[in-house]
Formats: sequence, structure tokens, C-alpha cells
Amino acid sequence: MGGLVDAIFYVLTPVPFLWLLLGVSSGIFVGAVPGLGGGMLITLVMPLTFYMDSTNALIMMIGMYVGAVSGGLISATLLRMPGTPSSIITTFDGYPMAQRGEPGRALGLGIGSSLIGGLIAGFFLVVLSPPLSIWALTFGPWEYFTMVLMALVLIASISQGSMIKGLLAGVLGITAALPGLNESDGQLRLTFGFHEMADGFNLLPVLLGVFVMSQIIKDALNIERHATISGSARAVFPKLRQWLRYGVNIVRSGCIGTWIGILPGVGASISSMVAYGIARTFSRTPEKFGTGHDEGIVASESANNANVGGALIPLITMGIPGSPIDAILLGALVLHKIQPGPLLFTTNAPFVWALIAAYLVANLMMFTIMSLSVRHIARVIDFNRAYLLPIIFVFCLIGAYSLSNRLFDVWVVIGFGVLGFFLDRVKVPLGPFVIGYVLAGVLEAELRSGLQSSQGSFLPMVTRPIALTFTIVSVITLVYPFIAEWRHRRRAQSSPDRAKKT
Amino acid sequence: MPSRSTMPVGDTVLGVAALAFAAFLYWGSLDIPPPFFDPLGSAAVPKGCAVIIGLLGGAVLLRALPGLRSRSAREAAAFRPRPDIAAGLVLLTVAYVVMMQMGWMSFRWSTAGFVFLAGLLLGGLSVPVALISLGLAALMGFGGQYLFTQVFFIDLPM
Repeated sequence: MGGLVDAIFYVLTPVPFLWLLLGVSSGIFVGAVPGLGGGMLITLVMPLTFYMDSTNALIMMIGMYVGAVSGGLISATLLRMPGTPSSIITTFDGYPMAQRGEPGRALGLGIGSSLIGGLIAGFFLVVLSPPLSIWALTFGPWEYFTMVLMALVLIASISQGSMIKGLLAGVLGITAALPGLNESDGQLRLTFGFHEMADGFNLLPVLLGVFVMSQIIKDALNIERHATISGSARAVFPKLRQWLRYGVNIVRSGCIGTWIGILPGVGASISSMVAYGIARTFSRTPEKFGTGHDEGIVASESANNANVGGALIPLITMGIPGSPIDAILLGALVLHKIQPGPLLFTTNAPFVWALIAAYLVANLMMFTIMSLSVRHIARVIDFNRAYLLPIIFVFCLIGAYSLSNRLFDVWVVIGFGVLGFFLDRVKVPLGPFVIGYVLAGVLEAELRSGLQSSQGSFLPMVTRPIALTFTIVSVITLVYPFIAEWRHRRRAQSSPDRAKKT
Repeated sequence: MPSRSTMPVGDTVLGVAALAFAAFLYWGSLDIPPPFFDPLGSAAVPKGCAVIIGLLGGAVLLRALPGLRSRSAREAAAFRPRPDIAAGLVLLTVAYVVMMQMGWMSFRWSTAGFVFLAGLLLGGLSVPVALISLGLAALMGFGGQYLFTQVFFIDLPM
């Protein structure tokens, strides 16, 4: 705990505090603007952090992450346009409550629940991270390989839409990381004679393309989408007695958000969906959900903020991203020459504690900023995107070019932007793509080490207990949807037969 | 998991594209030499990915094909999507990068031109839009050049 206390004091010193403040404020603003998001913001600022102190850079990015997830509730409540995907569920009850003439109450409930959800996840982040990283130190190549495999399968199966498309996105992401020099044997592969491809596709241009350029094209397609803000947007907080009434719902949703966040690759939108569904099941007034009910807002917002903290747990302890934005943070760590993984706690504990402390302080900062300024943010979120999109692309260009002073990286941004846009149009989730891309190197390296240690045999996948557990989870996750579908079909076929007989 | 596709046309395109890409990837992997000191080598993962992409693309296609005959009616959107503007913006970005790649224009002028034209494309042809876009174009082109080279010390395309 001494490490955490020291880290909190460090984060509260002027320089890190100001970076965190900048991160949280810009995150809230970007999260509140429909069509922009935390992933986009963090990717865009990444090149500007090259010359910053690594700890401060990551502290700022964590602030952006927390701010963006929370800021989404403003537009979800006032415009019925979720600023971020994690706020989709908030529109179900936040917007009807705002329409009923209580926008301030809806915002107050959302902001308060976001804080509590974030702090619940922060508790688990502090308590679980050290033992998990010690446990992860016992992992060998087969444990790592099967864990990454499990992460990819889980991402694909739980991400929204079809599991086949999720898997396809994950494998396409891995493929995008393959071209270039294979460091293990010095072979060039999939370069097709282009010498620019010898380094492969760099991380930053790929992230800028998939997260930012594809969103620019999407926003240009939907440029005629407009909405108007309903009512006054001053946050009105319920009294303590009312918060106590929501206690069970908030704690349960916070725990759900944290747990789902820990699962690799599952975003905050799934957390709020699950928490909302469970809150409705246990509610005494389930019929009120979707009509502007307090419990709906509380469940959704506490879960999506808790997801951020939960998703940081596998990132910090094992180097496995818990969500697409964590994949970007993982990329930022690599670009700052910090090797993510269980050894990080041993070799650079003050840095890890600083990130955890930044997460906790960011939640308090988010609560303060949003409580004080939500009214002003609400006024500016629906501005004309026609002026913003070209500027964002110029930043993309500068970010990609500055990496190695070559325009090839800018073409990579455009290429992956068009690809990301196409995949999004055909409902292929982009989260698994990015996570597949980021984890491809670890997957191949661990598989290679594992095969070398077992003389080319795959048997350790089922003979080593931890690897076996990960393999079983992967197989069940892959096979269960097909069995469920087969059973569903059989039931559907047998019911008309039964009806005929009777 | 739905047994049939909910967007058959899009999924057919996706399935065919995935199959074509898988074939291309496999063909590209054939040139990679076999492993000489480790059991995996450089070709195994690309080949494995090609096979998996092919299988998944085939599965997407198989689910999409039955739905092609009975196409469901599209839901009416609350706003009009503008594919023309989206395509125009992509072409403009390509032209912007080509200008700098070929050395025809410096970062300063090409950025100013891009921001101005993209503002008009996205905001519509009107005097207020043109004036605001012009201001932003000057800010990003000339101010951006100064900010990134003199303050952040980042190299920009010539």
C-alpha cells in the first residue's frame, strides 16, 4: 500500500496533476461529442507524447480514457446520441428522463454513478493487480500462448454482432501485423517487393487508420445528422438517502463492469448492457426501465466506468489489453520503450502504482469537472463537424509522418481507414482487429518459444494445468454458440411437430 | 448466433473479399523459405491465418447466400447518409497526400488547400462556411507549420 500512497502524492504534484487534468478535461469533451471517442483522442495525441516523460504521458492518457467514457453520458442524455459506444444503454433511460423535464437529475445520477463505479473498479485494481502479476510470473510460453488465444476467442465471441465476424476481425488484425522482417529468423515476409514494407505496418499509423480515419469517413457519411439539446443541463444530484437506495444496484453493476472489463477485449458497452439487464431482472419495477428510470441510468453508468478500471487489470499485470482502448495504451507503452507484462511490477513498480493512482484521481477529477461544467459542455457538443474533420485528418497526417518521416505511413493511415470503414459498414467489430494486431507479435513469439521447448509438440497445451484451463475456455467459447444454435433449431423443429400431434 | 445473415449483400461482399484475400495471403506465403532452425518458421503463421480467413469468409458467404433472394426492407434513417461526401473526402485526402508525395506543394499550402476544400465539401457551399474554412485553412496551414516545426520540433513533409 506504501507504493500506492507514494504514487497518489506523486500524481497530486503540479506537473502530473496538470497533465491528468488536461487528459480528463479533453476526454470528457471528446467523449461528449458524438462521433469522436477516447480511442481517437488517445491515438491522436500519442505522437505528441514522444518527447514527454513516459509516466506523465501515460497518466494523461489514462485521464483521457476515464474522461471519454464518462463524457459520453452527456450527449446520450441530452441528444439521445451516445458520445461513446459505452453510453448507448444510458440513452434508454437518460434521454426519456431529460425529455420528461429532468435532464439535470439524469446527468446527476449518471455522474454520481460513474464516480462510484470507477472507485469500485479502482478498489479491485489496487487489490487484484499485485497478486495477479506475481501469479503471471509463473507463466511459460504455452501459458502465454493459450492466454492470448483465449483473449482473441473471447473478444470475438463476446463482441457485438456475429462471432464469425469477430473471429474474422481478430485474424485480420493478426495478419496486418505479419508483413516485414521476422526478427526470429531474419526472413522478410509478405513485403511483395516493396522496401517500405520491410518494417511492416507501424503500430501508430494502423491505430490512426482504424480508429480515427475510419471515423472521419463515417462522420462524413453521416454529416447531415443533427440533434437538439432538450432542457437545461445543470447537474442535480439526488440526496444521500436516495443514493443508499441505489446502493445494491451500483455495487452490483460496478462489480459486473469490473469483471467484464477484466475479460480481454470486451468493451464497456457490453458491461453496461449486462448490468442494465441484471438490474431490470432484480428490480421491483422492471416495467419502468426504458421510460426514464433512475435504476437504468445508475446501472449503465456505474458499469461502464467500472469497466475502465477492470480492463486496466490484465493490461498492467499481464500485458493483455482488456479493451480496444487498452490496446492503444499497450501500444503507447511499447512506443515509450516500456515492456508491458508481469515483470513491470517487479522492475518498475512506481510507474505501475502511478498509473493506478492516476486512475483513482482521474475518477474524482472527472466527477468534479463534470459536476461543475456539464452545462457548458452541453452547449458546445453539437457544433459543426464540417470544420473539425479536416483538422483531425491533418493531425493524423502529422502523427503518422512524424514517426519515421515517411509518407508511406500516411498512406497506411488512409488504407487502414478505408478498410476500417468497410469493416464497420458490414458489422465486423474493429475491437478484435486492433487487439489481434497488437497481440500478434506475442502470439507468434510465445508459440515459437513453446514449440522450441517441446521439440515441436503442441501437447503442452493440454498437459500444463494453466494452459489446459485457457485452452478449455477457448474451446468452450468457440463451440458453445454452435451447440446453442443447434439446440435452438431442434427445439424450433420439434415444437411444430408436437403441435401437429396434439 | 443467427443462422442467417441480417445483411446478405454486405456479407456476400465481405465473404468474397475474405476468400480473395485468403488466397492472396496464401500465395504470398508460398515464397517464404521453410524453417531452418525452429519448428515454426516464418511461413506457418501467415499460412495458418490464410486458411482461417478463408474458412471464416466461406462461413460468412454460406450464411449470406440464402438471404440474397429474400432481401429485407431497409429501415428508414432519421437523416440522409451522404456517400458522395464521404467518397469526396477520401479522394481529397488522397489528393492532399499526393501533392506532398510528388513535391508539387509544401505542407503549408497543401494543408491550407485541403482544410479549405474539405470544409466546403462537408459544410456546403455558402459564404459563412467559406469564410470559416478559410480562417481554419490559414490557421492549420501556416500556424500548424510554425507550431509543429518551431514548438514541437516535428519534421513535416516538404
